[in-house]
Amino acid sequence: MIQLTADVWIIVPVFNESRRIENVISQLVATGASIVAVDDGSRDETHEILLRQNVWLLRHAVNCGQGAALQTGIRFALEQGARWIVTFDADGQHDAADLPRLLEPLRQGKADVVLGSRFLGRTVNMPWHRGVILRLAVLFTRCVSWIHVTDAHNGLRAMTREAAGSIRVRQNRMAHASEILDEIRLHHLRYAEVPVTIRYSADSLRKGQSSWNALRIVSQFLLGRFVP
Amino acid sequence: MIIFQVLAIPLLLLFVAVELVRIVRSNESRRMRMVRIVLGLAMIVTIQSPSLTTRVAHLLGIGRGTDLLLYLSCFAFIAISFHLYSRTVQLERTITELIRQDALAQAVHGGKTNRDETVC
Repeated sequence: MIQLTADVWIIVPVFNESRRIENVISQLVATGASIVAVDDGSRDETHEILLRQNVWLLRHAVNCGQGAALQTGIRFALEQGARWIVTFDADGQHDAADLPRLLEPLRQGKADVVLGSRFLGRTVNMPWHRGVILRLAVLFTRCVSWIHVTDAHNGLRAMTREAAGSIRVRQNRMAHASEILDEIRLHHLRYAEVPVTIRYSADSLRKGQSSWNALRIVSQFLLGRFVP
Repeated sequence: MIIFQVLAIPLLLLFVAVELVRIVRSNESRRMRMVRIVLGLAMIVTIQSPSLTTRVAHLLGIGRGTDLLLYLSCFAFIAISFHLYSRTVQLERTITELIRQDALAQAVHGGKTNRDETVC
């Protein structure tokens, strides 16, 4: 059983996850951490399900994107006095058992931001073409953002209060993952990677990003850099 | 003077005059008005003297004046597209911030609003 303290705030951006969200939230609530679910304008029963959970719930009136939901959750957690902030996907791909390992470098003062890496850890049922796209994304990130990571688009991260306050997510959609890495380099934040497990299911793959969407994410990220 | 010149040049002069009046009266978006005035004047010159574009094209090693205009139009299209994209992104950020403020103000915990809570 994973036990965390209430000064750990876990941000879960949620969009149309009525089938899976209850399981994800219940495993997080059991850790004892403070949970913030940001309902990003869901059109199914997600909001009603989240209202019944013992978590903070914020709702975007319309769908803005995962990046926007994360920034909303982070700002709320900071306002509530969070000491450590974790971002956690709502689609059931992440494992709460990885959280202590994720927080350890922060507690030891060895890093400001800790990034989960599926390529240091393991993946379950990851399609080969997804693996190829993700490795290309790593290569792209190393070239464009000048940051040495082994997994560029993993939603499982942890950061200190100070780091969360300096990172500004302006990419509303999926390009926020690259933007966060950019911000880490820009603000000279110390970062570390820890192995985590990512579980793919037919359900999560159906709802998740298509491999072709990677090109759109790249263009959004690059163009967004030039927008003042 | 050909018919097109008779029709187009007065309209463009009127356009430039209106922009000039607006630039004097208003401080808003002065840069874009300047761009429009320069473009209007450039159009007047090229319509009045088509051989001028050909001479400029030859100076740049381009065969025809129309080709030069085509290339310039392509550059202008890219610049305008990026400008509009940029404006759209900025608008999206503004809307997101409004939605965020609303979400933060309406936060609930376990079905109760922030105001109902005494302890976080």
